[in-house]
Amino acid sequence: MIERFRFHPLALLFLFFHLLFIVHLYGAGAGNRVFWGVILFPFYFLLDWKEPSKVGRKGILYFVWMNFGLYGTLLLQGLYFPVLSAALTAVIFSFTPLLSRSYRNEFSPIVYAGCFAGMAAEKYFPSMWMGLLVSIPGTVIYLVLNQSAQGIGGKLGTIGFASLIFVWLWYWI
Amino acid sequence: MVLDLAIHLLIAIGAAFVTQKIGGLPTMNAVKSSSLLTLVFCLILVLLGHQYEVAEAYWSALFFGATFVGMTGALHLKNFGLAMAASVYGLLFYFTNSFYNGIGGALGVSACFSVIFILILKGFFNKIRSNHGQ
Repeated sequence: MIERFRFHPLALLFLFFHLLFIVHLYGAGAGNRVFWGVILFPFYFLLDWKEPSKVGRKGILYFVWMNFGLYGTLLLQGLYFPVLSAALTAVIFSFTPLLSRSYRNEFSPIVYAGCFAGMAAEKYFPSMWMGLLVSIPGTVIYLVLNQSAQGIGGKLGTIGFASLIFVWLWYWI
Repeated sequence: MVLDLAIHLLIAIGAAFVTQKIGGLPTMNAVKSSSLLTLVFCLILVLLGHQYEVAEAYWSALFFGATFVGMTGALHLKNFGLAMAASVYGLLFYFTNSFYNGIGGALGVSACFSVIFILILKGFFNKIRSNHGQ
């Protein structure tokens, strides 16, 4: 996993999302100490970054399933707490017998990324249309990073967080 | 505080281990394992909530994030490395969760930080070990 240091734009993108998270924590009052996390950033270039694979028209399907995870979690949040609604949405997709196993295996990561984005508090979604503002960048970011940093836990969560970038900026501005 | 922290670390390590083990089974994968285990844990908390006062949202968030650490492939981290990453995640969650402010993906980013931190440490130790071997 740890390879030779080489500059890669995807590492920079990933690092930028984590920097946004640190800024978010700082903005929420966590104090200056959160910026210690920046020490890790140069080492991101040691990770395994690969060019994204071409998906062509299939990209639409990724977009549809991202929305399934996002809206499923958002709708269930009215009934349960966010974690339960996200897990339930992901379980429904991952175990449904209506879809083939290979299909589920291919799309379950993006459904999961959608679930993470959908766990955001209701204040970030003043309108249900806001979900589209999340799933469009979310799908693009997922497809760009799908071959990179494989097997690193939290990558999908980072994509879920990054997909909220426009909503986050809207909220803060 | 120490007992509280110990409980956090225990839950984080346990969740990460079980997720990785179950995710490695032939018909399972990381997403299935993480979501199913979290759902079971949430349902247990809901049941317990009928009898006792339990902060379901808080503990389920800790567990959910730890399962992301457990989604790390066994080729990258296992046993000691995974326990260390889960511990780092537990600490991060303990000290920063009140600042997440309801943003989605915060648990995943914290888990990702923890895993990358331990992977970097592991890389350094491997390098030192190989230099000593030469």
